[in-house]
Amino acid sequence: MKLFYVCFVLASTLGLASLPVHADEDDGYVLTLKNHRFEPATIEIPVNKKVRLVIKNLDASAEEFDSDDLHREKVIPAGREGVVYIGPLDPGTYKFKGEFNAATAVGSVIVK
Amino acid sequence: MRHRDRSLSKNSSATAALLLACALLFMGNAAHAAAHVLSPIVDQGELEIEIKADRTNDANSDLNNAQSSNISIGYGVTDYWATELETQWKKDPKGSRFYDSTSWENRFQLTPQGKYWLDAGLFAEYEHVVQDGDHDSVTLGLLLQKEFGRNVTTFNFLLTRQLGSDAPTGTQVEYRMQTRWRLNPMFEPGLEFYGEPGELGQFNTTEEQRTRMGPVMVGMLPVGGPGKLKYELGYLRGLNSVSEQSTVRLLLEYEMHF
Repeated sequence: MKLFYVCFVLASTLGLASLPVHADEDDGYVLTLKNHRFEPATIEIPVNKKVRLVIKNLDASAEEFDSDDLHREKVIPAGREGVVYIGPLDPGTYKFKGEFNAATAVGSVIVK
Repeated sequence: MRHRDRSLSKNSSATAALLLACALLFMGNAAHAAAHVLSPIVDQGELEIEIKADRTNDANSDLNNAQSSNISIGYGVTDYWATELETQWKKDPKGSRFYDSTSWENRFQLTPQGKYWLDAGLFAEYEHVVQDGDHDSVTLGLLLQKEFGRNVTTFNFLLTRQLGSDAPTGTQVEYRMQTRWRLNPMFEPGLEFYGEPGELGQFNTTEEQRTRMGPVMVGMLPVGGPGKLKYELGYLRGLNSVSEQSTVRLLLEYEMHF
């Protein structure tokens, strides 16, 4: 009976975790890291949409996509790509940066 | 701008030093381990050095001035697995300080952050104790996190079983919850809730469950150099007579990538 409780909780939670989100998910946006700069440095996304950001690191060293505004951190190894999900977001400007090259790797997400 | 940045870093360093001094003052023993709410999110390549401590206050001398302190080092091995080695010291309310145990903790991130309705992870820990009469234990847990705009709510459900032929039977249940508002990276106020209902399938009555609740402040301080200092400062009130009247807890975590 105890094992049943544990399995029930685990299965319920994993099922809940995989529920589709209330807001529609957009196809995705691509950010490229080259010479420690994001291209494009600014992207526009619609309000109340979950968005998939694909970050392609073309540099020879790893970079961390870091944003306090978006509450996201993700290390992208050199020559690889990573995916970050953001939103749904209220209208506004949300800044992000490359933690390892913060002087040049900066950008923002504009939501409107 | 540069002058303002230096001033901010200087203030953050002073705050960090004050918090570290408080943590060191706290370090002692406690009847229970220093607890905090665990996140299901793993940061690959992140090295963490962490100090946790808590101290109880109660009119009952059997519950008053119990202290615990933990020092740990952890690393995000992959984008879904973080591992940590932790040592713990304890002080019972009327006793002296002693080295209690060493633990190996692991967190597994099950879902990409933000992709699904909530974020889920698993926790697995093996604790090796050194005191005669105590027993090694295994803890498994479910870690959940949900964002509501600037609010982040995290929930842990933990099951612990002691090992050994003479160990107490039964699986102990514990739950923890933290809800905080990301107002500013350095200051995120919130609330916490900790409960120990008892043995799985044989919960104690509400009045017999150790239950605590209270405010918490969480933040990240830029202290200069390659890393950041995360802190959590919480004050928990016991919600019944079997719980300590109050507990102050402090967590300091230095994080850096390599």
